[in-house]
Amino acid sequence: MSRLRDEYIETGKVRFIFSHYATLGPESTKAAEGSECAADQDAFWPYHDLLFADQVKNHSRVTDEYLMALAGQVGLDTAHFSDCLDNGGHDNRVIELAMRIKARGARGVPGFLINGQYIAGALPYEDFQGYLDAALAEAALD
Amino acid sequence: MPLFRSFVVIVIISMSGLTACAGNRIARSADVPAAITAVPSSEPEQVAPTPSSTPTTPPPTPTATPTPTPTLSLAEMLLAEARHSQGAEDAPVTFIEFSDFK
Repeated sequence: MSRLRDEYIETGKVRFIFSHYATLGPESTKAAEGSECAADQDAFWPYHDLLFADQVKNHSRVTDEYLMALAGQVGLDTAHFSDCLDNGGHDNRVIELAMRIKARGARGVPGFLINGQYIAGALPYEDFQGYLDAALAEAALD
Repeated sequence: MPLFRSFVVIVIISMSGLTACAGNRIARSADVPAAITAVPSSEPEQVAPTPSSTPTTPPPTPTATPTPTPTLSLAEMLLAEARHSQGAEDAPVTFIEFSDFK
């Protein structure tokens, strides 16, 4: 993510959009809710990065306590964050969004769209570089 | 005259025979138990009309045109509802990730 930021996003070449596609069970939905609670405190991206990094490295179980601990590491107001998790205000949107993405033919998770071109599954960064450079070259021709 | 007398005798004998038969018949019907006499009447029983026997009218055709549901592609939908994005809005390339944290 940091290379993508440095090489494409910060340079104005790419606009990056993240959308939840929580399909792997209650822990997925819970994690997505945690990131939305962080977004309520304008800290979606730091929370997103920390959560992703920890899941890739440790595959930690996603519980309220775990999400709270991450919120503390990001420097969020943990009382607010806890209230947000308890209220479950983001549950329905996360679940409903996953249903709508699936209904539109998404196959597997993660999925990517580069200028509308669908790419299924996680790929090495170099592969994404290839897709992004091709899309940039095509956009330059238009 | 003797012929007439014998005719009368024959008539009397045959009439008495008929009477005996009739009496026999009356006696037999009197022996029929009441249970059997209570046979359902021959009047047609009233049966509730079945749906198949009633003339069916086709359901009314809806006159109101259903409102078309806008069908956006996956990319259009995710772009329209983007909540978390980084980079210039007018960047030549839009890179959308839809993913799960687990």
